[in-house]
Amino acid sequence: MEEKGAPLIHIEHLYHRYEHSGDSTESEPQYSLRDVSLEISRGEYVAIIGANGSGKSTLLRHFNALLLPVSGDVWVAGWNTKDSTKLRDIRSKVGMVFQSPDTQIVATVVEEDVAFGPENLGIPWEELRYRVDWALERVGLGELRKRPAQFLSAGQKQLLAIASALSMHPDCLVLDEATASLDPVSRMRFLDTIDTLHGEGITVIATTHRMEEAARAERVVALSEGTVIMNGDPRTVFTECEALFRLKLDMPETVKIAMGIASQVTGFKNDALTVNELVDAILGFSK
Amino acid sequence: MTQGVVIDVRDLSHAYMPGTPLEVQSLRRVNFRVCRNETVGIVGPTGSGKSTLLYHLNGLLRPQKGEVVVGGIELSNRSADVRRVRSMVGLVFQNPEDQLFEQYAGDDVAFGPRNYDLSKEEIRERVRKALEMVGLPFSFKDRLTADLSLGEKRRVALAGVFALEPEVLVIDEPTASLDPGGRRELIEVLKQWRKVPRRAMVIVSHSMEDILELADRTCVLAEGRMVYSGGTGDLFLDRNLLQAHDLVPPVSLQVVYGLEDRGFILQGKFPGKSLLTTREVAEAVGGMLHGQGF
Repeated sequence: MEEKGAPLIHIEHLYHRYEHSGDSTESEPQYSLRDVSLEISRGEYVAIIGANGSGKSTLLRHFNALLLPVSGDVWVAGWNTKDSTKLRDIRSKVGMVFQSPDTQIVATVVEEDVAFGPENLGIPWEELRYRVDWALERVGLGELRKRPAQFLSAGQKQLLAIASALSMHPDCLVLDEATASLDPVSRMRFLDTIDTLHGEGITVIATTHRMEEAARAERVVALSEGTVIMNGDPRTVFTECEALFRLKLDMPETVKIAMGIASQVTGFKNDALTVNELVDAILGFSK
Repeated sequence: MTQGVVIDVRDLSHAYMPGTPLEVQSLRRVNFRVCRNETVGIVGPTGSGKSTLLYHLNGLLRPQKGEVVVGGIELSNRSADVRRVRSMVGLVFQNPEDQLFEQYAGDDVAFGPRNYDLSKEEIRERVRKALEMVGLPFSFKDRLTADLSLGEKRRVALAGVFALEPEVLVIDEPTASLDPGGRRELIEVLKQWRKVPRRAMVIVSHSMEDILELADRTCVLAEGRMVYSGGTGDLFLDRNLLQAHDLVPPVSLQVVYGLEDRGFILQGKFPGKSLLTTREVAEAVGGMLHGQGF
């Protein structure tokens, strides 16, 4: 892996438009992404937020060349995604996990699903075995390796999807609403696993409608109608109440509570991103 | 039957693929009751049987063991009037927008009423009222369903259920995958709907914030068993209960408990029951810090 901080994904003036199905009366070309320029560094944790239809998923699908720009360029680890000879390299650098647990598992047994990707790359057996062990270990599914995937819970299936991405030894995990269908306990477990992987150097790019989740990232990018509207650290983005509301977004609950307190108590800091941070702020103030 | 009970589930058990090696017991002797004028939340991990229970409430699944009585109609009776039950109980599935199939939004809303013996004017009136209830103008009927946003599609799907004028609304994960703005709008629609007397609502959600905002009473399902049923506030204010059932409370209460663990007790000063929402917690903490009353 190259050094942390170097650009991993570099996007310049990206436009994207879906082909129209034909039965629509719209004649104006509708861009789902308009002039997006963005850079994501190695080792970064970036949350992408935006209303339904703002272009989040479309943007994500450009990160591993599932979609190609209508105009503009996307580079992944220095390769232009339009260069079809680099497709395999790009796809193995960037692993994706989608929203629905049931639509991304290809094998019947847990360990076979994890082996599927590297097996297709022709990785030798010993190395394959090592990768599968390692990936299952990383997400805590080691003991379930022989289990039929259909008997996993939704939360376990999402962890399996991560393991299957990890077995490709990616530099980057792209999570498209990956926690949306999980119950709260499974969601916490999933997010903790992501934090651990990020701590070990993996780049994480995640979309979510839960602002609490987005606040765990190091940087938040807000999209509206296919354009980047906000791009900054979570503390800055999540205290812009009016802009967030206009974009059909919200603040994390902890920021709302902190702001509620700050409106009564002068000097109380209003940007607590986590429960622990808010508790610390309250206790600190009460001394 | 007690006055006001509109859904009464007694000792209900259900297995998928019974009698095969793949048999999965989904519900185990579940008792569940819904009265008029109340909203009941159902929470529990994936696979705990929540959706299976919902499918029994309008006769999509019929009881294998136990009884389901809806508006006095006994659904374990094979000759029960299921049509009558379905017009009484409106069931909204997860991602209901996936079921829109008409080209125009209005036709989708009108689909249900058209299957009943109603005049054109009556159907038109039902569509108008239903769209209004979900906060959309009547002119929305002429919009192409394919061009709607996710939030709009979901509201059109909900209007299709409202157009049947159910007395009970049963809704599975209403806010999942909506953006925060769409969620706020939908919660408001549901709050408005249930304001009409004698109506009742059953809501399944993984979002404890939804449950806190909507449900008067909450039931917890775990591995097919009903392990708790009681006031929503009582559930979230009882840490032992939350822990026992592996539930994560809403963020506002996580803050209250985080403070409690470090010796900063809010409940003592502000009698427990109302200290639940983001606003209430902010006001309580603000009041204490402002008055420095500790």
